[in-house]
Amino acid sequence: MLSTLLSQIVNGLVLGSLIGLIALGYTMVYGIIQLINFAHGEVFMVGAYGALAMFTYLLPTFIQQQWYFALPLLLIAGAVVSVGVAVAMERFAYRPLRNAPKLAPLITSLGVSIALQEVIRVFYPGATAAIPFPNIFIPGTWTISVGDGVVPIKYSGILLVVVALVLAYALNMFVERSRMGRAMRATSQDRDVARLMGINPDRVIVLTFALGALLAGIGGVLYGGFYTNINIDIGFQNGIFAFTAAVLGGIGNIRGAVVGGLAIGLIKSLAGQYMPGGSAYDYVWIFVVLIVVLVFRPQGFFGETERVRA
Amino acid sequence: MSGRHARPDMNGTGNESDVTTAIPMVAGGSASGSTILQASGVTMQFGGLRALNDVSFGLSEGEIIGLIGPNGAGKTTLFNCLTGLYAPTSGAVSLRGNPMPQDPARVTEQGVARTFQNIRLFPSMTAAENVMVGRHVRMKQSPLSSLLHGPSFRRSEAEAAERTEKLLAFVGLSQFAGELARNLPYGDQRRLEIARALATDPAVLLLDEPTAGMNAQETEATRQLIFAIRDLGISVVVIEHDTKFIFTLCDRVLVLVQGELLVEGSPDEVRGDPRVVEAYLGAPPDEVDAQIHAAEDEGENHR
Repeated sequence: MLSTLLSQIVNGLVLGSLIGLIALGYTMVYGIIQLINFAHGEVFMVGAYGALAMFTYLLPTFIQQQWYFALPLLLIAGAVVSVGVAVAMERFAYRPLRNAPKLAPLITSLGVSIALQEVIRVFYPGATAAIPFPNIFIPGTWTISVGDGVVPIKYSGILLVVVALVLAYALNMFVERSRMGRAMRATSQDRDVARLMGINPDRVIVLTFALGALLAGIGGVLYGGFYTNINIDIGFQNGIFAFTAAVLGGIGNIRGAVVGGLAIGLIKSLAGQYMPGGSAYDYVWIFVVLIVVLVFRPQGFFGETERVRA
Repeated sequence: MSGRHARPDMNGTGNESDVTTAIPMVAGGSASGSTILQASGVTMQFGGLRALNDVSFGLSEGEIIGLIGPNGAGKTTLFNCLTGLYAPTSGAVSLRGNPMPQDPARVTEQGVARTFQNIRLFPSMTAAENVMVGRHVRMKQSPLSSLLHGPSFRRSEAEAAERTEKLLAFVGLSQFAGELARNLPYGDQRRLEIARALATDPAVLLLDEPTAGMNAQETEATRQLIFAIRDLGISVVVIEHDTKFIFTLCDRVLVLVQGELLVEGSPDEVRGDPRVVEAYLGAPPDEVDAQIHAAEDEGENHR
C-alpha cells in the first residue's frame, strides 16, 4: 500500500531527525576528546523532564493552555537543564580523567548514565512510570489522501523535523565558519598545537559538551511533544540509536550524524513494517545494517580514513 | 627595509589589536633595538638528564638569531621553554621584562609564535583555515553573535579572512588557500606553518628547522621569507642544521652543545671558533646524518 509506505517514511523521518539531533552530541564529543559519552542519551532525557517540571510546577494555567507561550519556555527549560547537566558532567566526571587511559572516562560515562536515570526515577514525582507530556505545538494531524488511504502527519512531527534540520545546519555553520568552531576542529586535530595558537582546550571541550546538550535538550522537549509521554528509558533507547547513527555516518562528522540518524529512523520504521517479525525485530535490522556498512566502509558514510599526520 | 612601516599593510583593517604595533618601538637600526626576549640561567632537568644547563641569552627587536648545535644539544627543549610548553627547572624567561606565562596559550597572546621541527599543521583543515586558527587570539566574537551571524561576527570573520589572504600571499601560498593542509607539498607545508604563526601577530617568531627537507631553491626562498619577516619588525630565532644557511641569515649565532651555551657571537666569530669546529662542524658527514635522524626521533617524542 502506498499510503502505508509513505506513512512509515514520515514516521522514519521524524524519528530519524530526533536521532540525528542526539547523534550530533555523540559525534562532536567524540571528535574532540575521542570519548563515547554514553551518558549523552540521559542528557536528552533530563531535558525532557526539566521542561516537564517547569510546565507542571512553574507555569500558570493560561500559559500552559497556549502552545505559543509554552513552547519557547519549554525549549529553553529543556536546553538549560540539559546544558547544565552536561557541563557539570564534563567538569566533575570527565575533566579529572582527561589524561587517564581512555577506558576510564568510557566506564565513567556508563556510571553517569545510570546515575542520572536513577536520580530522575527516585526524585521526580511519578517517574517510576511513563508521564504524559503536554501539548507543545498546534495539536492535530495533517492528513494527505493517497489513492487507497491517507498519510497522517502530526503537526508536532513537522515541528520536530524542521527544528532538527535548522539546528543541525546552524551547528554546521558554527563549526565551519566561526572562531570557536575552528578552535573546536583545531583542538580535535592537535590539542597541543591548538593550545599554542592561543586556544584554551578546556573551554573548547566544555563548549562542545554544551552545544551537544543544547541540541539534546531541545530534542527531549520535541520528543515529549510528539510521542505525548516520556519515561526514564527514553535516553537509553534513543541514545543507543543515536550512537549507532553517529558511527554509521562516520563518527566525528556532523553531516554524518544527521544522515546516519535519518537512515536509522527510516530503517526502523520500514523494517518494522515490512520485514518478517514486524516491529519486534526493528532493532535487529538497525544493527544488521550497521554491521554491513561497517564491513564495507569501517569509517562510516562520511568518516575520514586514517588521518595522515604530517 | 624599514619594515615596521610595512606592517600595517599586512594588517588589513587597522582596528584589530596588534601586538607588534602595541610595543613601544625604539628608534634605530634593526638589530640595535631593546631586548624583547630574555632567557636567564634556564636549566631543564628530565630525571637524571640535564637537557639545558644555565642558558642565558637576549633577543633584540628586529634581530635574527641562529641556534645551532649537534643533535640532543637541547635546541628544541629551549624552544619548548621559550613557548611555555616546558616550565624550566630553574632560571627564567621574560618577554619585554615580564615573566613568560607558563601557559602556551598565553605565551601566544603575549606575542611569541613558533613552528615545529616535524610540521604540525591541522591536517584536515584547509591552508586558509589553518591561518584563520592562528588569528584566534586576536579575534573577538560573542557566542550569540556567532550563532546569529550578527554584524560584529561578520566583521570579525571578514577581517580574519582578509588578513589570512594577505598572509598566504606573503608566504606565496595564495593558490593553495582552499587545499587541505595535508595535501600540500612538504616545503609549502613549512611555509604555511610560518603563515599560521605570523597570523598570531607575534613580536618573536621561533622557527624550528624551517628548511629541513628543502632543496637549494626552496631554502633560498625561505631565507628571503625570513628577511621579509624581520623587516616587518619581528624578531626571529632559527634552529637549523644547515650552517651555511645560518651563517648567511643571522645577525648573531648561538652554539648549544650538551645543553650549554658554548659560543655566542656574529656568524664570522662563530665560524672561526675552534671549539665550534670541534664540537659541531668537525663531525664527519655520516655522523651528522645519524644525528639528524636521532633529532627527528626526538622531535616525535618531544611532548
